[in-house]
Amino acid sequence: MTLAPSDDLTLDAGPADPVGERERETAGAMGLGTKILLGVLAVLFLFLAMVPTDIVTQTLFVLAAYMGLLATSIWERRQVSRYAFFAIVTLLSLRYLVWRSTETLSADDLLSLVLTYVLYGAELFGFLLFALSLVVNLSPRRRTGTEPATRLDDLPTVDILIPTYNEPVELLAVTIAASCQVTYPKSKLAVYVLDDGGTRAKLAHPDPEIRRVTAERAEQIKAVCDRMGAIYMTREDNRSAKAGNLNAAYVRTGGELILVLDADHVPTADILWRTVGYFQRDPKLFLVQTPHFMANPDPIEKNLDTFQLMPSENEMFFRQIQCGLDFWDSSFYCGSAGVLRRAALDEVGGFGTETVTEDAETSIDLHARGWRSIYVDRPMITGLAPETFTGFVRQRIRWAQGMIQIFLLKNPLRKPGLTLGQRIGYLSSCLYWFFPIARVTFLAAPLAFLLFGRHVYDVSAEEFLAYTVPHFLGFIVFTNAMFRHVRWPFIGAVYELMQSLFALVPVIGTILRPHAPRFAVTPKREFLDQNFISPLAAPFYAILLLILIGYAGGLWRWYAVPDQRDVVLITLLWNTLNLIGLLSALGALYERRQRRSAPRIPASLEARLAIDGREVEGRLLDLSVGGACFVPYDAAAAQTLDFSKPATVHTERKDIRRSYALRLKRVMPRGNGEFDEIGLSFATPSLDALNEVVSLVHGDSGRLKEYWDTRPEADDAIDALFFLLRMGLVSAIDHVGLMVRMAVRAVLGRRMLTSIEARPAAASEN
Amino acid sequence: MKAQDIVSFVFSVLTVLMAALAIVGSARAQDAPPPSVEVTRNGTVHERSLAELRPEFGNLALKRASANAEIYYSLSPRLVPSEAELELHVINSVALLKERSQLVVRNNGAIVGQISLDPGAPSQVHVLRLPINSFEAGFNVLRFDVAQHYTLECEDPTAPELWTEIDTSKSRIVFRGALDTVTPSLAEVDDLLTPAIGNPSAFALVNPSAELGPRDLKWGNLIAQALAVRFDYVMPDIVSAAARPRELAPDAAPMAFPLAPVGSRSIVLFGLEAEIKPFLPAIVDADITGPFVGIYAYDGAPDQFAYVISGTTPEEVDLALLAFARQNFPFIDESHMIVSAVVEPKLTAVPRLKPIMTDTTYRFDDFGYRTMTMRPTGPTSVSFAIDWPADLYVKESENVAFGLNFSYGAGFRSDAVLNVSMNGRFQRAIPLDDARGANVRDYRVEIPARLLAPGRNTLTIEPVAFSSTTGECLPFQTDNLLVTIFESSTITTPPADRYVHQPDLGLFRMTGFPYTSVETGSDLGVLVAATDRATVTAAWILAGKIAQLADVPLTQMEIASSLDASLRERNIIVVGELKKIEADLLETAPIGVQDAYRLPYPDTTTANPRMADPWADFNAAYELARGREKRDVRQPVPVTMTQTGTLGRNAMLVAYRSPVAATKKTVTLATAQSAEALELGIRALTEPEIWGQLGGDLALWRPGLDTVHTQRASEVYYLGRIKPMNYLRFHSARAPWWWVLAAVAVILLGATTINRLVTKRAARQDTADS
Repeated sequence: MTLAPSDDLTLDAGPADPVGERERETAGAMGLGTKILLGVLAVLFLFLAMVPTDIVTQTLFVLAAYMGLLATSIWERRQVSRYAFFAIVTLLSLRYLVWRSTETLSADDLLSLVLTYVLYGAELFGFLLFALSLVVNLSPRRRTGTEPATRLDDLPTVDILIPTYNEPVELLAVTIAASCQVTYPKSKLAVYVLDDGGTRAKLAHPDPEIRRVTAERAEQIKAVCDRMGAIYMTREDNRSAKAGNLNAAYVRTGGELILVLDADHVPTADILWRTVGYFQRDPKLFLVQTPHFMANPDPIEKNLDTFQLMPSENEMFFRQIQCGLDFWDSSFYCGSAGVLRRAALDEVGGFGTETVTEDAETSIDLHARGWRSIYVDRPMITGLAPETFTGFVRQRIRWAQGMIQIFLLKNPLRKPGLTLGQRIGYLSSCLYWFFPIARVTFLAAPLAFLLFGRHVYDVSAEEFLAYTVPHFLGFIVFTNAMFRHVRWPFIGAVYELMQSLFALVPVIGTILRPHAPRFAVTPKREFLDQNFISPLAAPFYAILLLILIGYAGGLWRWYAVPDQRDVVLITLLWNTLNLIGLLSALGALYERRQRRSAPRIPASLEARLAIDGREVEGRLLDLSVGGACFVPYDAAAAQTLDFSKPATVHTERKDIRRSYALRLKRVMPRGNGEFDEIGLSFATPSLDALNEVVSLVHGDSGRLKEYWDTRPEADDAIDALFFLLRMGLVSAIDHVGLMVRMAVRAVLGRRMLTSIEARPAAASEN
Repeated sequence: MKAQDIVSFVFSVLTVLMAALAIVGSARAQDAPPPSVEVTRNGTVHERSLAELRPEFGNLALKRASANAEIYYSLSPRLVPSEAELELHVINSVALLKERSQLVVRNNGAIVGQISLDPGAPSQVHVLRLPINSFEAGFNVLRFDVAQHYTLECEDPTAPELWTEIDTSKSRIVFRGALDTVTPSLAEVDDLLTPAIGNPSAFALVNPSAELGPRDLKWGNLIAQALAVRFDYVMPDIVSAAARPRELAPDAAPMAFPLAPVGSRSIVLFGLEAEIKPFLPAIVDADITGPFVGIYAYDGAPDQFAYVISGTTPEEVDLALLAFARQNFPFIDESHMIVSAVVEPKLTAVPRLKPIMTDTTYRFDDFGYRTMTMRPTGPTSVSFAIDWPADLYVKESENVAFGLNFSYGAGFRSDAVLNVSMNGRFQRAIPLDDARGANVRDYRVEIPARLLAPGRNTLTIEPVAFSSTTGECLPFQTDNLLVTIFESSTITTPPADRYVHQPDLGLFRMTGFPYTSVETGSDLGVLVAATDRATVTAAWILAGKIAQLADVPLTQMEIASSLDASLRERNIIVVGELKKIEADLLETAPIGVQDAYRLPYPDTTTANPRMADPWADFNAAYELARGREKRDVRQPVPVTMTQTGTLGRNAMLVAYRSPVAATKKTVTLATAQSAEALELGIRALTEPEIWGQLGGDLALWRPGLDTVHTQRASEVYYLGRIKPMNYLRFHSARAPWWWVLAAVAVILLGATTINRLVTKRAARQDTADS
């Protein structure tokens, strides 16, 4: 059975609507009076920020500010209240910054002065990011998609391009299957698999083993394509990596719109149905980007065991920042799950190849040419995050290098044609990736004093309490208010800390040689069959040691230099924050095993489990192409089933009113003899069976959206901190425990390395 | 988060409160009454209470097993004592052991008495005879050493029951004897015009005519200043008097003055030679050939002198007066001199202890300190004064940095420290913890600059050290407990602006500001409402007091009886009966004089702060935290009442913005119901008890009573120049709630505007999408 729409699918007629053009052109227009008012307000605001006061008056202001924050929090649903909240936090931070700039930048010697200014620079950077983030997230737009409003004949043709390099074929097969089932007239849709792992250069590789593996994989992919109705493509070589692959296909295809999907990005059926309509309404639209929904935990949330307990790390970008960018018409292409207009790409000669982030590069070029973009805040693909910390770091380094390349080579401040909002949006996205420099600075700054006595942050305890603490708390309050539904407080710092140590050198390298970075493919589906310590842990041990020595230094200074006790106290507090972050990082470096081959998507579907003529009703709690988790309503009844007999699960997708009867390969009761959970393993012996499963598992974007919408929010920053600390400590203890075991084994003469070796396992069907 | 904010606030409040207390404390020390110089003359008896000889209030306390204290006093070189005694009122602890407890009294190092501290008679009066050969001309020192024990066994030397006090108000030093009658010379003026015991301190400033003309006002004013400055911290008893002739006996001495005495006062006769000629001995008159300054024994009396300041032209008198004011070195050992020229330093006069400059590094010896070694037997501490400008505005984060160069001996116990105090308030302790001793260079000690009060501040450095060998009944020595503070130690002052709010009689009390802000007095004018003797006397006394505060005669101070152009653009002190004050001058004053008096009364309705101002409690805490005096906590709006009645015996000082100056100037009005009441009032005002209570911008007192009533009734304004950012800092601190309200307004307006713009943009986007 096929879910692909047929050619006779009839849609509601409606004229193409380019009338939004004029409206859009004036969207950013502002009257002279408003400009003057804004200017005056800005001057007054800056004036308030710059008014120097003594400590007590500043403390009064802080008290008033926090009362204001409380009041605006109470009415946070009112937009005015929200903006007032932002203004108060900004004022607190600006006052801190002015005070920091005018009162604290002095040192006793040249080295301390240099270090002082390095730290100050890091703080300025942080403030700049904060300010940019504030503007970007001023009014996030929440679009959920629009149906195409036209006759079938007027629907644009769409090419789905699935670039692949080395991903497992069975992973690719699911993506191809789902792509072929996308709801769109077949005559208007073509699915292309762009195999960069089977290029002619690779097929002619001097190494016969590589030739064999390449040819074997290519044949397998071709077979899948043939069976599913997709078109296989490859090229001469891997020049320009992913962008080159896309460009090679781009010139050989002709669809008016192009949907790019990474090999692991399985689309839901409605991905085109909800996006194509925008292109019809706005002829100057070049992109409709959709979020990336990750079905598996990234290595940090997996290792800290926070998956599904708090939002994943990428949700902040896809659920908040892109929406904010959309308000400023600056949401950008993210490499996958985005629909692009070929006509626009024609103007810039296809996908950008100058940087390693072709997606953002292409976007900025097109934005500069007056093309527009839209972001639809509804997840319509399911993807995979890297499973290991090594893979995760590799991915992030590429992003960092790419965005820094864009900053340096296509600087959004100088690039002609961009609107102010777009400049701010791109600047925010690019500058963020300089964070490793700032993070390492913040990590090292307290040690500069504790270990070497360098006064890099020479303030009194009173000033610290009156300026620094309110600024710091204000920032946390702001982050929590702005992002609490997409990221819990402090977890971002852990992610950044973990990336910083490895991204620092590449980032600096990119700054020095912007053309040097090369595209690195992010490894996917590395399955770990046992726990081990990440091979990247070594630098963290070194820093942990320094932090601990820092405490000793602080203790010594406390007694040896009594008149510096306030500075010692402040620095020790700072060191402690770093220690908390580092402990969490250590916990996240304890790589936990992950055996499930197909990531499961959260669900809540009514279902019946039928075995040998008897049925038990229950609910499917998660789904994957490999299987599902079934929870019977009546556990006692489930106990009476004979699980050795052939079984079928019956369920229904209510969004399209379609029923499914899926054969099961295995049924595995779990729980303490009560059968409160039953694992189901789908049997997919045929293409139709696979399509059926894919349709059920990946067909409904509403399920993904519902899952996102019901993510637990962080109510309280302090609770979030303690939660993170608890999870980090548990994992850090595991980490240390494993190290101790390794040490014992080493002492006993066993081969230590065999016990910690990561064993990426080939994907296998459940 | 909220809790942390509260902790932050409380922490700040406490810290600033401590600073405030330190400032208030320093202000008290500043206002310590100078020793009274009122000598009870009973024949040849001269006596002073010990309280008059000490700057500190209260009894002299001697604590611990061993303690000492010193009292300095000055003796007139002309006093030839035939007998001297010290009457001591001693109170000691009843826990002391009589056999081992004693008080030893030394005068200039010579033991003059040993007093057993008897617990059975804890309150004793002892009269110790002081050997007359133990005195020195000039400064002398009384030293009190106590040994106090409560057991014959080993004891805690710091036990709280080890104490003895000397009641300084009852204890007194008495001299009997004659004053030397040798012919005085100008070289002795420096010794004669001091508050030393035995020196005359009552003067009649005598002009030749019955009326006081403009020149008389001016000349008498400068003489009064010169006398006041020479008497340092004690105000001499000055009156204005007209010269009256007297008939001399034919056999009168050639140097007898045909000038009637003014009581038993010394006379300062001033004026043109032609005018004062009738009142001078012919010999003296013959000497006046130019600017003339002379000193003579009046009628040969040992305690009565005649100073003659004259010239043949007014300019010569001016010059002579300038010389009289400036002469402070005993070059001329003759009875008179003719002055040819006085060249003053350019721009400003240089006071003996000039206010410290901002953003400058000084050595301790710039303040007169000389390298000194402290030891347990004394001196036990070193201290010196730093004059802090009156109108400084320093940021609270700024510190006064001390770079101490010191050395200390070996064998100190490990808990030895060097305590650094400012105005009696402990600031920092420096550990002296190297058992081998050390020579320390540039040890940095920082004190918040705001802890320094306007005017005189006293830095005290005091070691607290014990021998490293201690224990029950073990012999130990303390000769190694030496600490030397070197004069090469430094003080670095922070950058600061000169900006201050006015009017403020508190600042006037401490420094004479704003009248002393220009050191030559060129910015100060004195306006007398009438030229009667009492009013003029009051004006001269006040001018003298200001000169004392400035530590130098303000030679360019103007004095006049009418508000002419030269006075209008100056800071003015108006002296006169209330009803004689020109209406123009009262235009901006909180008081008025027409048919009835318009007077301000503190608003009693604001006594309940909650009723009047919901922020009152918070403001009170805020003001205290900011270090202001309590009077500033609430600033009630005065109730103005117009009424009949008189001030009676009361005298009043009111400061307000000058209504006659084009720029910001201050008028301080000294007034009373009558000229006589005014003179009495101003005399009382210069007494430390009254002067020390001045505050607010209106002060009312009654001679004979020690209470001064103060209030704030005048409009506030600001004097000085300040950098723009510091201007904002200054005023935001003074009106924090306005600042917060402004922030709220801007935030709300901004939020509304942004909301409007965002909504508009979003609506346009929605329209385009649909």
